[in-house]
Amino acid sequence: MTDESIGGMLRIALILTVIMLLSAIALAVTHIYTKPFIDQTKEQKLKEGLSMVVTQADDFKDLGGGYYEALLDGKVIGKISTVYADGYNDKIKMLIGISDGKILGVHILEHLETPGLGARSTEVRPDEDEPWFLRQFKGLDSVALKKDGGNIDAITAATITSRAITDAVAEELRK
Amino acid sequence: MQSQNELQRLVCSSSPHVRSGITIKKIMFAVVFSLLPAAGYGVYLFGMHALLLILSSIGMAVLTEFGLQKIFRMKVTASDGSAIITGLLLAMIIPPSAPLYVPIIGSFFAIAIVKLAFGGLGSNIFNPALAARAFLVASFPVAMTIWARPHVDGITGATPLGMLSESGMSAVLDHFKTKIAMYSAMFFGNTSGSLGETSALLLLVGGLFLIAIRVISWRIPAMFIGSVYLCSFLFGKDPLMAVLSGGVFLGAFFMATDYVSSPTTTIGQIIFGLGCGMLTVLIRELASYPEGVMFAILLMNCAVPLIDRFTKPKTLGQK
Amino acid sequence: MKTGKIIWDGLAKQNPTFRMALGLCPTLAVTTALTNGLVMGIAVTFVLACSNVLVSLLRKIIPDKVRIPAFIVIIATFVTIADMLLEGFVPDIHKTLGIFIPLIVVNCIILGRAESFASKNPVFSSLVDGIFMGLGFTLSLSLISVIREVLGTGKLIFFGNLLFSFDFSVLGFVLAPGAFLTLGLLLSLFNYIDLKRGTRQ
Repeated sequence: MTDESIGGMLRIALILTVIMLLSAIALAVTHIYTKPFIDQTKEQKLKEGLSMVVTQADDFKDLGGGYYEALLDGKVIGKISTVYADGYNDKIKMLIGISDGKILGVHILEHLETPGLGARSTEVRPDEDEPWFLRQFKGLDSVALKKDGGNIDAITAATITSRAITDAVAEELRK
Repeated sequence: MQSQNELQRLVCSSSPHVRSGITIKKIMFAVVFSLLPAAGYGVYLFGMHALLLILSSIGMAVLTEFGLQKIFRMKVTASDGSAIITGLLLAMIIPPSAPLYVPIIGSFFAIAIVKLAFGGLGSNIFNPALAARAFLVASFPVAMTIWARPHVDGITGATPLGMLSESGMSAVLDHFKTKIAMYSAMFFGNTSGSLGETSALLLLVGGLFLIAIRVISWRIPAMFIGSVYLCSFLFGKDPLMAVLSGGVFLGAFFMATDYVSSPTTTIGQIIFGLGCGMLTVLIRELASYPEGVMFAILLMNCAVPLIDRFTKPKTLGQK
Repeated sequence: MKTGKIIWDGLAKQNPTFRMALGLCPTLAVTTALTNGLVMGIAVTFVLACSNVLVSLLRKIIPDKVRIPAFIVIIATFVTIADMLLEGFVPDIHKTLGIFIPLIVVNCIILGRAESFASKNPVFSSLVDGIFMGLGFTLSLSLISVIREVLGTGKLIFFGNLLFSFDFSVLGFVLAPGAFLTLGLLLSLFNYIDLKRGTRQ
């Protein structure tokens, strides 16, 4: 049977189909096996982020669309929203917690800022437990960089990142 | 085979065979001489640390060239003066408050990577001092963006272009009080900036001297400065300030005119100068860096082989 | 073919990065830290070994005309498995390696070994070839990563444990230009060594 005959072509198709089928099965099995782990880490990351933003809270309620409520003994003590800032390299994904027009906390979930410059926005100094840059926002009701006549110290040589984060927080406060 | 190879090396061009007394060494020392006023003013302005920066930069450049050429058993050209120019130029384009390791690492990079790795003097694609500065900006972003104030130890300020891009023209005018004071500070060089770039006057004197003794041609600097003036005007900026500030004069007279990394033809040099000026303004206005001279010249360096190819003069009778 | 020769070819003589200059895209992109380079190398080794074995097993069944699609399906399957395993068990590293894990599919080393080795050799030799080509790649990535991490950040971290640190760093080495610089200098170093050894022989 040559490859050009109908039978030969069918044989080729059959072999390819079998390979694809086996590959699909292998992928499905791996997916079912790893999915719980993947979901768990995602949830854990989010939960960690949320409790960094509102440290006092003991529970969080997912309102959908990137919005959350921080709860303490069943009462709402703050609202948290997912916000994207225009960073130097890409969008910076962050959580901002607000209560009564005041900032409870800011946490950066994902960023692609330059190491040593913009990436220092998540830098934690020795003997401290949260990034010094983000801690500045806590308790404020209006924010702007000191260079722009405000109250926030910029990260040295990373004005664009500092300004992007500060502007995103200011925008969220105005809402 | 051997004899044929040797014959091929001895290609004789057609007459006339002009000989002149100009050697690489003489040209290089003319350039160093013309840079001295601006460099000396930098030392006067920013203090002894500036002198240390210049000496360590030159020392490391010469040492690197000598050392590597010895190690790899190449012809030692460390005494032709080109390494001295690279070291001096590099020191002149770094902040006067930079720690000493900045020019030392920079000079090593300029000579070892940008110059010798590409084949030594005559084969480098990029201007070594500028390419080294680009590497330093990427590597030491903090040290490379802190600017000392003239005559004041330990206090930092912003360069005029830094102020302009951070807070706008009104802040620059606030700083200098009047427009005339601003122009004269920039022209004479009493502002924050890289070690040897602040005084437009002294760079102009050095540059005109080089043009007068025919070491460089007027085309690249004139086109460079002219297009910075024109493009800044088109962007609605103060064109005179755009020309006097930052590294325009230093870049136009001493870096864009580097024989090796600039075009050889007349039209090519005009295109090159115009391109440098336009890119400088585009980077200043649209990119995140306040100053664009360095990247403008480096980008145009990449385009030199192309420019040379398209502007090659036709030989007689060629279609 | 002798097993010893296959091992030596993979590790040094035909080293994927420094001798054949294959798979340079992930080499440049992920070598910012030792841990990243190492995990990338291990992922490639896993895919290479598995796909080599399977291709070798099926080498008499797969018709010549459709061998490339068949190889690619096999490779893509293992890459996706590796991707899911990494996301499940080392999520942080998975995130830093990002797009370069799925891109292992188009890494020339893997299709190259399937086509030029596994489809012509028995299963055991193919397994050894896959493992040691992969280890050769891992070694090269680790070497570049160590240089870039130490020079660029002033410290060396091995899976979250700080091995050592000092107070000086040349940030340029962890940025993109540093990748080209380090790779270029290492390539020329190995060529230089080869040249020296060549003249002596």
